[in-house]
Formats: sequence, structure tokens, C-alpha cells
Amino acid sequence: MPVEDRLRQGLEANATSFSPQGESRLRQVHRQRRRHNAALAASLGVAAALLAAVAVQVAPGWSPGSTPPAADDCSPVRGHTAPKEDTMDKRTIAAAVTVAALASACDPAGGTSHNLTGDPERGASSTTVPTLPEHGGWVREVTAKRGRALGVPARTVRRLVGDDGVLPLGFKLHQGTFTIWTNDDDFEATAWDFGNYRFKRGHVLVLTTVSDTCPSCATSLAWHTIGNDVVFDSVDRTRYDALAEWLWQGRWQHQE
Amino acid sequence: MRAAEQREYDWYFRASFGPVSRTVFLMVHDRELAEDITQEALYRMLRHWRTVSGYERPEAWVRRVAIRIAVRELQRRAARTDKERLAQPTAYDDLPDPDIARAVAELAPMQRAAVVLFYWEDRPVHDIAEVLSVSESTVKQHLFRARHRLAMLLGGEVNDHAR
Repeated sequence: MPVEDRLRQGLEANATSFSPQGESRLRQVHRQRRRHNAALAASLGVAAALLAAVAVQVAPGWSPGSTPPAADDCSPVRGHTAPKEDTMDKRTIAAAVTVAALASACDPAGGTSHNLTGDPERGASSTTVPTLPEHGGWVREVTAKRGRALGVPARTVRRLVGDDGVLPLGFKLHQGTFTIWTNDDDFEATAWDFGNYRFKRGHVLVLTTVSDTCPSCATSLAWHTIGNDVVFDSVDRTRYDALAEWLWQGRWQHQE
Repeated sequence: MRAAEQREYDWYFRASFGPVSRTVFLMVHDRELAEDITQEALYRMLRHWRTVSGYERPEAWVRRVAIRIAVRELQRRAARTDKERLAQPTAYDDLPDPDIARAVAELAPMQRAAVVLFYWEDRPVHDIAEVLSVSESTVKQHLFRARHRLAMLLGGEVNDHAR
């Protein structure tokens, strides 16, 4: 075996065997924070529901037995079965989504939301928020070269892109859900990540993952259209991860 | 530091800690030292955050600083006497590929850095030259010599036309 190949294999094996203690501590802190945020969001949800119930009771015309308006539920759909996928790849994508996102899944700002529960009424109340059409989808290709240039770790680029140096991606909004998919090595389209989406004022699209790799992870993307194509950008560039920037940012071509 | 700056710094800390520690570990073969060096680089980022946060890629700055600290540490170690080095043996056998670790440890500090950046991180030569503050031809020379030394130690063939 040429020494270069032996070296690459050996370095990769040795590097992956090293799990920095600091990193696991950071993960622990991150998990604790997420739990704290989730608890806070849940409390806020309960408080909002109580307030809504009180408001309905005081409002004229309310009668016992009628249904009060539901408070917005930001929790992921329970029991939703994720398709079988490569967990490493999903984790990578989910990580991209996670790190890019500091926006809460329960953002109190107004917006047009969609959900996987199949209730078309929920979240569709605000018509002033600009939205993207649900028909068709958008596709783009990202290259290994661009990924490396942005600073995505070489191993991640290799794992995601494979040998041909190009990673085709598809993005679709359908019946209130989003899916991002790619072609596998056998050219089968495979969903990488999926979840609910909603639009916020100021051309912001908030995607909330419900896949089992990163439930409730949310990412916010600024968007604008050029014809039927859509261009995604980071809402806050300084917080944007290289991986998320590589996968999401830029122009997506519309496809019927 | 304001709260927004703190959050931004935290984000870079989280994003950089793991990858940078792994690269440094491949150079120094010491888990604790690798983490210490990474933390030192991140601490320097914190001290100079006003300036570093204005850079296009603050994480690249951290990586560069960590690798330079690692190279200096290796140079200091190389200057130690044999007795001192024997007092602090490196445990290679708990690694999945101890032969590679031993062979890389035989290289000069700059060669180690060049090899790790080239073969592990897949960095192009001009990037490595920038990180190590040397010219591109010096990096190529380091890689050429390292390849030959490693081929000798590992008993493999060298393909000098390889990227």
C-alpha cells in the first residue's frame, strides 16, 4: 500500500479514537441548556394557553362546551416515524441545522407556521407574512471544493460528498412540512432531514426538525426569490456555521 | 464582553474545540496536552476577541494559533535530553494505529504539522504555508521528506506524484 494511503487511514483511525473531554463537557452543558430552554418554552406555552382560556371565558359570546383557541404547540410530533437513513449523515445535517439555529422553536414573534400534525388551520392565520410556494421544489449542487474553502472539515466533506466531488441537494415544502434530500450512492433520493416550517416577518423561514436525530432543532434562514428560484442566506452571519453555510446558503433552482 | 459577543464567542468555542483538539492530538500524541493547547488557543481568542471577531473566519485563526503552539511544544520537547524524554513515555498502544503514531512521532515538528494538515485535514499546500508561516516550497519540501521518512519507517512505497 502506498505510504500516503496508509497515512490517511492511520491518521483518521487515531483521530477518531480521541474524544476530547472538553468536548463531552461542552455537549453536556449544551444539553442542559436545551433542556432548560425546552422547559421554559413549555412553561410559556402553558401560560399562553391559560391566558387564552381566561380571555375566551371573559370574552362575550363564550359558552361552556365551545373550544377555546389552542395555544401554539412547538413540540415535535410524537410517534412520527423517521425513514431509515444513515444516522451519521443525518447527524451532520442536523448539526448544521442546530448550530446555525439559535432561534427558538417557540419564537413569540408572529409568523405563518405549518406543522406535521396535518391540521391545515394551525399557523395559517397571518396572511401578511410573505411565503414560498409549496408546489414543486428547489434543487442545488454543492461541491467538495466549496465546502473545504468554507472551512468544513475535510472528513465531513468526504463523507457527505463522496468521490465525485458534487453533492446534489433537494429541498421541498409540502403540506406544511419541509424535507431536504439528496441522491444516495445508488441515485435513490433519500430524506436527510424533515420537519415543520413557518415563515416569519422580514422574509425569514424557520425550519424545525422533527427527525429523531435532532428533534426540535430550529434554524432560521433569510430568503428572497429570483424568479422562481429561491436564495437562502443566514439571518445572522456571525452565528452561521461553515457546514450550514455550505449546504443552505445560495441559490436554489426551482423544479416543478 | 457584551452578552451578544459572549454568545458568539461561545459558539466559536463549541465549533472549534473538538476539531482543533483532534488535529493537535495527531501532532503531540498526548490527550491532555492536546486539550490544553486548544484551550490556550481559545483563551487567546477570548483575549483578542474584539480583533478576532472581525476576521472573516475566527475559527481558522484559532486553528492556526493552536498548531503554532503545538509546533513550539514539539520543538521544546525535541530539545530535551533523552533521559527527560524517557521519564515521560508516550502511550501509543492504546491508539487504533500505533505504528502510524510512532512513525509520525519520528518526524521533525514542522514535518509533523505539514503531514497532519495535508493528510488528515486535506488542506492545500498554500493553506499549510499560511498556517505554518513558511513558503509553499518549504511545505512541499517538508512533505517530500516526511513521505520518504515514513515510507522507510512503515515499509511502504512513495508516490511523489501524489497530490
